[in-house]
Amino acid sequence: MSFTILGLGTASPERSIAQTDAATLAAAFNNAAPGRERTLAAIYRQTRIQSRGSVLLEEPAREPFAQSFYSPAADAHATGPTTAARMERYRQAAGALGCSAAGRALEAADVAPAAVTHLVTCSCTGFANPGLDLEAVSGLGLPATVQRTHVGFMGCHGAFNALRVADAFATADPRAVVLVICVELCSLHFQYGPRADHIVANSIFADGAAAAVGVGAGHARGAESDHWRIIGQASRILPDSGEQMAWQIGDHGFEMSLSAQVPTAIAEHIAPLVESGLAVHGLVPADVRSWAVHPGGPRVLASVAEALTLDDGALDASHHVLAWHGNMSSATILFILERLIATGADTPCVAMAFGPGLTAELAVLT
Amino acid sequence: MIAATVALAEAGETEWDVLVIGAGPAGAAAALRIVRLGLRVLLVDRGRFPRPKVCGCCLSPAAVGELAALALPAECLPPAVPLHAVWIASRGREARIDTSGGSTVSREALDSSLVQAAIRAGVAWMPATTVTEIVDCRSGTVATVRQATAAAARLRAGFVVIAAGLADAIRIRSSGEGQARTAAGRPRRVASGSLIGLGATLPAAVGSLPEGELVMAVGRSGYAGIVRLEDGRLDLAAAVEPGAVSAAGSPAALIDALVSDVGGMARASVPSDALAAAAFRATPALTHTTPLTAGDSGQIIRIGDAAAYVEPFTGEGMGWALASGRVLGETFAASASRADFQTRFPVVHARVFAAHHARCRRVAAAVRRPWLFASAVQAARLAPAVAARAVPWVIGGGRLA
Ligand SMILES: Cc1cc2nc3c(=O)[nH]c(=O)nc-3n(C[C@H](O)[C@H](O)[C@H](O)COP(=O)(O)OP(=O)(O)OC[C@H]3O[C@@H](n4cnc5c(N)ncnc54)[C@H](O)[C@@H]3O)c2cc1C
Repeated sequence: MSFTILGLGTASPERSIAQTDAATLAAAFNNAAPGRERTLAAIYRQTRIQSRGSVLLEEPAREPFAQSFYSPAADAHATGPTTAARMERYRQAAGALGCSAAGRALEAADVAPAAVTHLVTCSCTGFANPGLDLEAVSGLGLPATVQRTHVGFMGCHGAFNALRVADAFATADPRAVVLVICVELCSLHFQYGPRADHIVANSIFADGAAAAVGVGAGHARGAESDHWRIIGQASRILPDSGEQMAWQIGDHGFEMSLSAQVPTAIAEHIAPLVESGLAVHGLVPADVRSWAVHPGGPRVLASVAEALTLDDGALDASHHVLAWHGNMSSATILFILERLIATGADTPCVAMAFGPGLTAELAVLT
Repeated sequence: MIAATVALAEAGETEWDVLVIGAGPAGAAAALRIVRLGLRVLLVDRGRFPRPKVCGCCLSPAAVGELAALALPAECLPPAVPLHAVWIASRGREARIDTSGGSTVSREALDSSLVQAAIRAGVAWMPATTVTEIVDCRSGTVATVRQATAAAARLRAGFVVIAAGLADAIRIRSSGEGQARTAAGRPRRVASGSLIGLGATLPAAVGSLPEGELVMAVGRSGYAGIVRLEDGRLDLAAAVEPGAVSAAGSPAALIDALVSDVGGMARASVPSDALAAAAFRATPALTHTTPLTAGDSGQIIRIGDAAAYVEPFTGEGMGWALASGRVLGETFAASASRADFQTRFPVVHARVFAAHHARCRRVAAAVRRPWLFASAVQAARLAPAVAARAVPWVIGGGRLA
């Protein structure tokens, strides 16, 4: 495969919340039993996140932040808004955020909206139809003939699946110019109550959108230098991982379940995936010049670094995006790639992300 | 898991006589032999043990001899299974040859046994510790090491033994007067056309290969060894042309094609579905030589795969690794001074290994010419008794002097 990324673009919600404030807020939603606020604050601190964007944040009056979507828990059984109410907010906010990332990507790629032939949208935090794709067509001025595909509900590695679809289009039709848009509004799925994995999910997920514009090797612009290219992808369902991570549609938002074993399972299985994925291109891990690892959480980054014995600093871009944006699910990896490219990182680059199952996706870029 | 016997902070405050990097057979054997001389030895590895390694897991008779020579305490003997037959198979032809003297053992078990023996003999052990750089000073060496959660630390040692295998990527710098300078490039010389290694273990229920039998499947783009380990799992290790992996699309697809092409016992041993599910590991280019000493002072020594490797066809790597650990220990013991050691070691090492490496290269070259190889298989089938004597290299060459 060879998918030349002509441009990347990212967008964050207008407002973000400092992680310390987010911890204070969480205490109001039964996340901490009375007297356990310190533990909650510690969990939030351990994420090493500084701040995260959310489309739910409003113009603050007195406090440094304000939101009215979630009301403080009235009793121990409080659950917050229904899924329908959450999806209504998704319908209102997802399109605009996606369009703003896509607009930047088109500009960076120097591609006119009218030239886009294929649109691949990706999201696991909401559904609507007409949805993201049609909003992108009207919002960006894409042609009405654009061929649309949606990659839905796959989880944090969704961008890899979307890019794989994009590559298939570009390979099948050398004239194809593909726009990929990932939009995630994770803050719509805040979970009330003290369940440990819900607290962890509440403490790391955030909103964001990112987009990529690319063409295949057969396209006139496919051979342009100065662009990063995806030359290969690999996918693996980790053995015996059972239901270590799951993402389910509940009555009060989409619910994440997460086992504490996730970082260990990733550490155990990542090296063969990376070695096999690289061997196909005649490369070994020591040849890799930059790494883009989806920061599921800080422990995931630490276990990947240990399992691959990466140098200090090899995951700086991943840590940076985690610190200033949180885990924006599928959009995150494109934020990291954008940062690597902007800071002049070298290739080959290996990108990877993990998702429900456990599953792992890997891409090799040059 | 074999826990550390020394913490990083404490290790940083100790003046080690010898720091051994890498706890494969070369490093563990060297550490064990050197500590028995009464020296203070620290053994580090970037992995946690037991750990997997791409390897055919067959000990040649020479390797079995080297293991015996280590005089491991009974509790630390690896659970090796005797190897009594080798199937050599190439494109529809195969021959079963009786062998004796060799054995099979998983690398998880073998390497852990050696590390445990080293610890019992007094070696200090630090797993999950990666050495990134060694600075060669006039009176000793300083190694920079990293553990996942800690800041980088420095270790001081009189000698450093690099036994880091094929993946050795440790930077060496020399500190003359004042500023340290980085040694130019990586000194490794990789042979052109070198194969790469691929390996995976398959669950115990897979395939019909009995214990004690090795299948060597030789295909167009490389060869694979398949053997049942002591715990029932199936070990698969292959040396293949790097380009063939990309042509096939994945390591699993390449090995599946190779095994299909060979058919017979190889196919019966590893069904396609098991291969598709396997997690393949890959190695860098296999055939290389790297100078035995690094830096200016001769205090940094390479042994095992880190110094040289040919190809796995003859199943000798672990024997070589153990022997290079022995040669190092023996030379240490016999040397009157640092300078004496520095002149002796390369000479002794060359004497032990040159002929073995050369023969292994010849065999590897023959395997690349499938018609020649196929007729050898044919001959072996017609006259197995002759073949058994004529191809002792199937699992290892002669004794390592
Ligand atoms: C496909 C294949 C099949 C083979 N089949 C056989 C066979 O059947 N029989 C046989 O005898 N040989 C076989 N070999 C060869 C054998 O595996 C090697 O020769 C042997 O393992 C070499 O031992 P070693 O101690 O030198 O290195 P290794 O066993 O590779 O050990 C090196 C150690 O160093 C550690 N390390 C690396 N870098 C660092 C660092 N920077 N800091 C700290 N630690 C580090 C690693 O984690 C590792 O544990 C095969 C090899 C291949 C590739």
